[in-house]
Amino acid sequence: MVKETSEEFRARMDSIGFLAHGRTRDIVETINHPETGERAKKTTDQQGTEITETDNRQDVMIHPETYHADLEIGL
Amino acid sequence: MAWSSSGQSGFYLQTIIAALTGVSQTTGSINLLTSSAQNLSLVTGTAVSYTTAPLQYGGSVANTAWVNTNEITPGTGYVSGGWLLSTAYSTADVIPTTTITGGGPYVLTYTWTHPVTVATTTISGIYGCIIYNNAITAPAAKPMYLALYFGSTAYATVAGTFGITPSGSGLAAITLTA
Repeated sequence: MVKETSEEFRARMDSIGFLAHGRTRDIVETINHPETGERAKKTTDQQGTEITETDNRQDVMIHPETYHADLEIGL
Repeated sequence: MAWSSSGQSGFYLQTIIAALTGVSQTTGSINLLTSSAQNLSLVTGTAVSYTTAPLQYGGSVANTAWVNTNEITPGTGYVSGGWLLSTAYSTADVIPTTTITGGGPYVLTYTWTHPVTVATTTISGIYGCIIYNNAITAPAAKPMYLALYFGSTAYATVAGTFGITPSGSGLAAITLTA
């Protein structure tokens, strides 16, 4: 069995056009919009074109102010 | 004023009085630190502080019993009654604490060691929360401890994580001295 590196494998697949249309992608990062929490996934296709795919998932992290209850007694 | 425009946080006075005066509780005790017996429910914007259930902080003993009035509509990851605090930190315990700060006046601070973090939720219309005892059956069933108003923003999640991170100065504080 002949082993080949991933670069060799990719080159061989490229040579027969298998990956020529970005049929496999490398996930670059997942980002969250700082205000809406909307998520997007950045990917890069085989031509190096960056693609941003958004979905409607949304997180929320609430930071409530401290509630201060005063039971002070003033004499 | 409705919580959608203006709300107030509050401790439930009859619960505080019961704790201070040794009122016997059936199937449980009033204890802010027992997270396994505490739930956190979420409140809608139609709730009105002081006058509508379940936010009648200064009301009767019966008014301290948790009810689902003005609770958000259950959705993915949230059922009526809310989440158990002992599993609300990514299924682990938020670990409630009380500390005394200051050198006079002194402040009793209530907070959690870990934030509430619940994954995979789809819920909306959230303006605040209530922390209540889920085990006690009498004299008030499920007596409420504290309600927290988040502000005039309707928070929501979509297939996402819902979280509450306490301020560095705690979730709530009571100044006990002059």
